[in-house]
Amino acid sequence: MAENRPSGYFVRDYGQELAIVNTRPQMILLVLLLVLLYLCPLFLSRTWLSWMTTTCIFLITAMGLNITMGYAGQVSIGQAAFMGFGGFAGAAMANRFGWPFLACLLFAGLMGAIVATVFSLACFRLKGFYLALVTIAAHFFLPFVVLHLPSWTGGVNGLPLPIPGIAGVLFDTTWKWFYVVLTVALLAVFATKNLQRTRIGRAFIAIRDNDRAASAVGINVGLYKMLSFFLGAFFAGIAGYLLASTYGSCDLAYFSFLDSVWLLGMLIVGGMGTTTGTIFGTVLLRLLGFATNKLAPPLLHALPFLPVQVASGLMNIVYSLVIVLFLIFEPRGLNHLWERFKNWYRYWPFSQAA
Amino acid sequence: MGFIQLLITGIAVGFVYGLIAMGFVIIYKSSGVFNFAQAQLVMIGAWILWSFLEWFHLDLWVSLILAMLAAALLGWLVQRLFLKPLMGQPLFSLVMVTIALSAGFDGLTVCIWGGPARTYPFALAGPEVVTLGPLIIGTEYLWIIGICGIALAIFFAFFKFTKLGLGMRASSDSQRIGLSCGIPLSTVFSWAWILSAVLAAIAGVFVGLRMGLHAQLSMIGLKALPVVLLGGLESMAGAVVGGLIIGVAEVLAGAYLDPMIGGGLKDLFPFVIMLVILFVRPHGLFGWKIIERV
Repeated sequence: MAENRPSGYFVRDYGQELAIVNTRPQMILLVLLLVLLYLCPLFLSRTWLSWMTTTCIFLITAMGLNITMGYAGQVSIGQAAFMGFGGFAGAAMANRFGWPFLACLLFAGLMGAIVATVFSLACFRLKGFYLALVTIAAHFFLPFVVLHLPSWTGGVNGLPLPIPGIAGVLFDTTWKWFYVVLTVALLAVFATKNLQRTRIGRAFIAIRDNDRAASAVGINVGLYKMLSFFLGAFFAGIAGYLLASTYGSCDLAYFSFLDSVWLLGMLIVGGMGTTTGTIFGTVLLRLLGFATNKLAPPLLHALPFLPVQVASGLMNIVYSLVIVLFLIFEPRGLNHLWERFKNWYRYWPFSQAA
Repeated sequence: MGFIQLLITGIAVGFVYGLIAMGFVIIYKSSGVFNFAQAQLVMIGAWILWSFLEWFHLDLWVSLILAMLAAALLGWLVQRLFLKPLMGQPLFSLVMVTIALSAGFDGLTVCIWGGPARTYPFALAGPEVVTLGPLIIGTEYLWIIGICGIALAIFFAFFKFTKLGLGMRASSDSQRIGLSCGIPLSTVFSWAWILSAVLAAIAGVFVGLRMGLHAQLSMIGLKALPVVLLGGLESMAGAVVGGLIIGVAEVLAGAYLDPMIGGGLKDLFPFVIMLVILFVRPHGLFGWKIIERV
């Protein structure tokens, strides 16, 4: 299905074709949404505000994975490990040298990116799921490195982090921290969306769609694949440091293999290669996670023979079922449903004919 | 002397890896799917046996047979419910399903058996040992080597001499040609999953015997990935050889390298080998050289 534009909107030049926002109502809605997001602390409870914060952090990582996997088509099952490498690197700098928050954040992103690049060196020789296996190995290297450098990373106990702050302003309350994370997340979304329209982004998409054709038109496939890992893991590293700062300490438990799987799931559920889809997927899975967490205590109460860890187990089951169902019944994800809905109201009242 | 004893431990570990890896290869060969849930099949197989023994208090042999049947049923169900609807879809979706399933099975295990770690109420052998000259070998290892060897031999014979085995080998060569020769592909896929789940369950019992049963047992099964890559994804013999190499290398690394760097290398070592293999010889020792270089 060709992309449907709003009624009465005609594309006259390439600039218009590439534009993200086409019409005035769209612009107004976008601005309203942004305003609404920034007003969240006014009407959301503390629980939901911290839920939003963590969701924003996962959104940043998912955006990174969207670059690696959605745009460039390289399956990465190590995104959470790259988060961990970034998070621990930033935390070590904050702890050891007292670097300011922003410097640590950037360093975390950079370290995550560098580690991912090292793992993706195999890009030049491998493709597809062989590459995915290399990224799985990252999950075995992370604990090894962390546990063997306890003076830098805190080892098993994790590393306590100072309260982040920029230029003397401390982000010591939930809502202040929410603003920081939300801003970074919006930047990440915007960067990912924009990347699609740059030379690099188009090269990624060319590689995803057909790597041989891409190489025939002069794209250095190996190099660009590596770049996709670099960019994707940069986001992951930043998200890792933000996550650690949210919890006040950097711990191995925040960066598990399952998190990598859920990140893949967020892309699948949302619709791979689309920023809107990634947002949908992240929010849906995080909502489900919230719901199962709420559901577990009463369930445990009603069925006392279940083990205590049933909350995490239940979440795993729900997540994986949702992912599998989406793969079977709606492989293009929520984004596709959203597009169909948009078409439906654009053609209304002739939606049936369309 | 210490070295040879380590070698025997390594071979026992390696045979178990070989079993897991062979299940992986069977599915990969017949349908081209990387089954990331193989490790979870290992874990669930181990727990099913425990449940038959502890919940229903059945006889060991009855439990063993029932556990294998249950594992077979599980494998068949997975194929029927989750993979068959996706036949003909891009491979990506199929593999994603197995990744999602692996996480789901982890969750299921936590929900059903998530309590404290357990052990089987039986042991392969008591504390007695076999003395071979200067060597002292735990009978446990001999059992593992023996039973795994027999299981592997049976599976090799199955693929070599039965019609179904022939069909599975044929469809792994080319699904399209196999189909046009009248090989029922969906039967072949079902059997691939059934066999691989049974192999996983056998391996799971050994893993459970050696390490006890807990809800993170699947991490051990994940080590089958390096084994498969080392042996070559298409080769069943490769899976066994790869398993032996990784098992021995892991045990030796644990014994000789770990004290030098302060532990932890034992679990990482298979993955180090995997990375080296992927960089140097991506098709593994016995695999087919069809991996495209980009």
